[in-house]
Amino acid sequence: MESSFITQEIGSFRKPQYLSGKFHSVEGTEEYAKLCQKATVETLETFDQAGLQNVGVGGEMFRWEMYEHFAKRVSNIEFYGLVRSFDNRYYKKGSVMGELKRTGPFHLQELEYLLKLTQKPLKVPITGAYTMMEWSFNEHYRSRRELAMKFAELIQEEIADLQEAWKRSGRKEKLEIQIDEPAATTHPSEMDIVVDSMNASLDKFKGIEFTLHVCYSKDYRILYDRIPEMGFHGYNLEYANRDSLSVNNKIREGYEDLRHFNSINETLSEKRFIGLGVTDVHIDTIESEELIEKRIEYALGILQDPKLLRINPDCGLRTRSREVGYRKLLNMVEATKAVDKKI
Amino acid sequence: MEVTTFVYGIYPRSDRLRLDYGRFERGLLTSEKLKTIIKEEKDRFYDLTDGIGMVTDPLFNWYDIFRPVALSVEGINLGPLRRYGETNTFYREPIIAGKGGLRFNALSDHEFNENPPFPMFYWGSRNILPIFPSPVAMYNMSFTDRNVNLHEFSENLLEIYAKLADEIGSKNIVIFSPKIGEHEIEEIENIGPKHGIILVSPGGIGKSDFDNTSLKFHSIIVNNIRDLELAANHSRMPGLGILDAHNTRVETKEEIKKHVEAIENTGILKNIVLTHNDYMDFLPRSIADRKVKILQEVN
Repeated sequence: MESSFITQEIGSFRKPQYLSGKFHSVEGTEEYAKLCQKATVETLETFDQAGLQNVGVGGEMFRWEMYEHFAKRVSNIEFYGLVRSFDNRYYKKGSVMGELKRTGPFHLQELEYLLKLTQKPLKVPITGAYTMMEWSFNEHYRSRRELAMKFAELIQEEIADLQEAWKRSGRKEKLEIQIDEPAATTHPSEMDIVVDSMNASLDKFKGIEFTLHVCYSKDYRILYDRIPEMGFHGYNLEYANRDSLSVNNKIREGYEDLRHFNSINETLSEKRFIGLGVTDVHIDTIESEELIEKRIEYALGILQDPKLLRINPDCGLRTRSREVGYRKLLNMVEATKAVDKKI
Repeated sequence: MEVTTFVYGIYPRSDRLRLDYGRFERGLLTSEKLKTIIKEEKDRFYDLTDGIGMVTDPLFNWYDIFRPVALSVEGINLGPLRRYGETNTFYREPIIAGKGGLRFNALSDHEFNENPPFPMFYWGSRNILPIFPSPVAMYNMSFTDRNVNLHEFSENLLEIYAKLADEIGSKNIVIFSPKIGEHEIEEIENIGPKHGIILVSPGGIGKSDFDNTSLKFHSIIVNNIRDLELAANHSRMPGLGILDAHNTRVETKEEIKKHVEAIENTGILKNIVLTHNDYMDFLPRSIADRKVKILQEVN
C-alpha cells in the first residue's frame, strides 16, 4: 500500500570525522571526492536504516556549510574570518568585493554521484539568493536588491546545469530542488526583494518541483501571505523548535500558525504542500514516536488532506551527532507510519 | 569638542578561543583550563583597547546577550533558539516565569552547560563598565508568563544590575537595548540617581521615547547624526556609532575626522562619544581589531 506521507530530510547531516577533520585541507582534490563519496554512501545507508523515503543529497557530504559552499565557487567574494551564528557555532561570512560570477557549478559533482548511487527520490538543496545576500558583507553593489538579484542570476545558471544532468540520467520523475532561505523573513520590509529574487531564480524552468525551506522565522505569516506570488510547489518549514515537548498538549503552539497557511492555501487553485518539521535539530532530546505522531495529527487536523503534508526534521541535522540524527529520523519515520495506518 | 572613544558588548572570539571552546565542548579541555584561557583572552582584549576611553568586558564567555542574566537570575529559564534581530545570529529565548534574586553570585566562578563558564565579568587591572541587557528589551524578546508584569520584572533586574555594578566598583552601567520598546526609558529611570546609565540602542531612539522621563543619562549612543541633538538633550555625553559593526569595510581615520568636524561645526555638542553601531560580534575578529585600531587613532 502506498503511504500517505513522504518522509524526507532537509539537507545536512553530521559528517563522519574522517571527512570533517580533513575537509578544508583536501577540498577540490581527488581525495576530497573519495571521502565525500564514502561519507555519502554511509549516510544513505543510515537514511535507509531509518526508513527515509526522500534521501535529499545524502546529507550534503560534499558541502562544508550552506553559505560557504556557494560563496567559495563565486569570484570576488573574500573571507576575512568566521562569524558567530549561535553558541560556539560559526560560519564563514564572505565580503562581496566586486562583480560576482560563478567559477563553476556548485552541486553538479554531488548530484551526478547521487544519480549513479541510488534510485531513491532525491531533493537538491540550493542556498537562496536573499539569504546569500543577507549573509554576505556587501562592499560592492549599490543596494541589497541589486546584490540579491545578482545571486539569483547565479542560481539560475546552477539550476540549468542540474537540470541538464538530470535529463542526461534518464530519470523519469521530476527533479526536486529545494531553495534554502533561512533569512527570508528577517526583514519584513524587504519581502519584495525576497519574492523577486526567488522568482528570478526559478521562473524560466519547467518540469522541476521547487520547494522552499525557511527556518527560525520570527513570523511565518509574512511568508505565507506571499505564497500566491511565488512559484514554489511546497514549503519545508521548522515547527518543532517552537512546540512543546509535552505529548498531551491540546493546543500545539508550534503548529498553530498553519491555520494562516491554510487560509491562504484554500484560495489557490493549485494547492501548496507543507514539509512539516517534527523534530528539533538543536536539541539532543529524541522526540518520542508518540510526540511526533501528535504533531503530525495536529497539523493534519488543520490541513485536512494528507497529500498536503510531507514529514521532515525542522532543518538539517548537522548540528547533532550521527547517532542522535539517526534516532531522530527513525522515530520520525515510525511515527509517520503509525499516523498513516490510522487514516 | 571633547572626544571619548568607547568599545562595548560581545567582541568576536579569537580563533584560538573558538577552537578551545570546541575542545571544551568535546570534553578535551577542562573548565579550569578554559577559564584561564578566557582570562588570558580578556587581558589581550584590554591590551588591544588600551587608550580607548571606555570599555566593557568583551563578554567572550557570553553565548548571547541575554544568556548569563537568564541563567543567574531566579525565575528565568532558557527556551528555544530564536533569531536575534534581523541577523544570522541566534539567541536562546529566555522564559520568564517569575522574579527573584540572583541564584548565585554572578561575579564568582560557576558552571553551566548552557554558558560555560562564569563569572559574568572579568576585568583584570582595567576599569571596565558593566554591561547588561535592557530589562524591557529582555522582557520583550522573551517568552513571558502572563503573571509577570513588565514593571516588576524590570525593577527587579535593575536592582540586581545596580548591586553587581557596585561590586565591580563602577558608578556607570551600560544598558544595551537592541530596539527601544514602549516604556523602556521610564523603566530605566527606576535604577535611581546613584548610577549613571549609558544607553546603547542600535535600533535608534525617538523623541517620544523620552516623553515621560526626566532622567539625564550619562550617555546615549545613537547611530544617526540627526539623532545626536536628541541624545544631547537627554544625556551628558551623546555618542555616535560611527563604525559599522555589520560591514567589513574598514572606515578610514579621515572619514571619521570629517564626520566629527561636521558635527563640531554645528556647535550643538561640547563633547561626543565615538563608538560602533552595534556590538562587534557580527564581524570577523580581524576586522573588528582593525576597526578598534581606527578608533584608537581618532582618539
